[in-house]
Amino acid sequence: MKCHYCQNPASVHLTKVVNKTISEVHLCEACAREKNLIPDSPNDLNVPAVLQLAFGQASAPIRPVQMESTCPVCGTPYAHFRAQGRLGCPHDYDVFRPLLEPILERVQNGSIRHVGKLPGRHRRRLTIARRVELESNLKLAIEVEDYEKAAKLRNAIRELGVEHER
Amino acid sequence: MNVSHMTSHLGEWLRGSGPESDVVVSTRIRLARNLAGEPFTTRATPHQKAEVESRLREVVELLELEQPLRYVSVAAMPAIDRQFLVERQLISRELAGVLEGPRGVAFDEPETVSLMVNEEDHLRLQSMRSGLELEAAWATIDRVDDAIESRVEYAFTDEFGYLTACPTNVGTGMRASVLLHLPALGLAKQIDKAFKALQKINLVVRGLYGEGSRALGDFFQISNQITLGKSEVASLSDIRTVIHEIIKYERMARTTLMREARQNILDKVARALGTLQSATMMTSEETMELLSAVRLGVHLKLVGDLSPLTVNELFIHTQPAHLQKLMGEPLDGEARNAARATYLRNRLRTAGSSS
Repeated sequence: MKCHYCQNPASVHLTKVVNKTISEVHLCEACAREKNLIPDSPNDLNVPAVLQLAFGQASAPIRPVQMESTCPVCGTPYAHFRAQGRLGCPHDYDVFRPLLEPILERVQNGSIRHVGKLPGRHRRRLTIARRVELESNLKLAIEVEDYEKAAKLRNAIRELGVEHER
Repeated sequence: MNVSHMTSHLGEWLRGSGPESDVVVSTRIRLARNLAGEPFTTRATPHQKAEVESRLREVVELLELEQPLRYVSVAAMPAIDRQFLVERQLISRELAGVLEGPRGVAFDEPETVSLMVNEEDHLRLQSMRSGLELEAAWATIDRVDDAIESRVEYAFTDEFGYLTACPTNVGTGMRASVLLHLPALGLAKQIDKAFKALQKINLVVRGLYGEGSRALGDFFQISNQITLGKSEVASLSDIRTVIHEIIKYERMARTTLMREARQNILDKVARALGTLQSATMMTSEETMELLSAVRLGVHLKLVGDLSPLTVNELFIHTQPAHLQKLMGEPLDGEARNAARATYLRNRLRTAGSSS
């Protein structure tokens, strides 16, 4: 996948949902930095710049995700999933992700993030990674004054501690 | 595998005892798991399914559990034996009859654990208990899941959790179900009222035999709907809270009925027992409704010499496949209804109403 602004490979992927329309932007790290989407510190995103992009004020046009996409691994077309309600392989969650997220939100009561058991072989690594991510999201939520979300994140962090101890 | 010998005992979940067993029949927890890097069952070729089956069969047979699991191929089984396993809740209707190709089930002798291979997901692990035993059922299945996971890699991402064929299961892949018997709320026409709270906290109610089945004989299955964004422990705790509420309502309704309509209840139970003891034709639906009344009578101590275990045995033995195994021959339509009535008459000959 190429960067939206230049020909370099894209490494920063943003998905946004505005008025029920899903679109994606792919950028290379250099362009993302230039657009101020990622600051020099690796710890946090530039929230105002991300929000600006998400609300369509960025200068670049954004292309809609293809509803007729097909999973390159198992060959399952997205339309097949829509008709049967069953995905083709684990990779589909990645390939159809922008299309799946709103569906997950609907069937899973608004949540699109796993909380709970982790496979034994990844438990230690994933628990740490998840804690780091939750804490950074918490920081973001506080920054944009979304206190409801912040409270949820705090609960999730607390629950992670409990899970980790078992 | 010959399943006929299984008619001589009942699965642990039908023991008729355990916590809150006057209202709660059984507890069941299932986990959906898939192997990493393999297409889900419905998109897999017969060759891929055969490979998944042999891999998982090997893993399952090597598991060191207190009760060893025995693997049986469902594909190679006669239709009546598959139906027999459905009635014992060891396999799903889908695994029995809808899905095709290599598939099977492993279960232990007391029937507390069953692992379905090549269901909608590669692996469906299930733990069953008598009464309200969410913690025990979770502890068992969690341990079996860990043991399997130490030998195979599951499809999992940190973000979406355990990946499943259907997005309604993704995340924990856990569905915990509690089977309730609510005859007093049924008689008082208060079932809907008691269930009103369920939707708000994302729990679902179904009939006895799972998805799409009608609630017969006031048996209801309550299970969690959400699998993403809520931990197993949190889900189980939500279910527990609601189940205790419903148990409270049902007991209150039973007390009220006994105080205000004792003669009516007594009559209902006696008539149910009388019909079961004398009818010469009996459908499985009617059996379910009548045994429901008898079960209520047993728990209200209106029936002297019947144990909850016997009532459960009658429930399961009058299911079509069980009945045919007991009679030792295939029976259809009227012959089956006649055989069912004969079986019930013989079993209940000595049971009487006492008050």
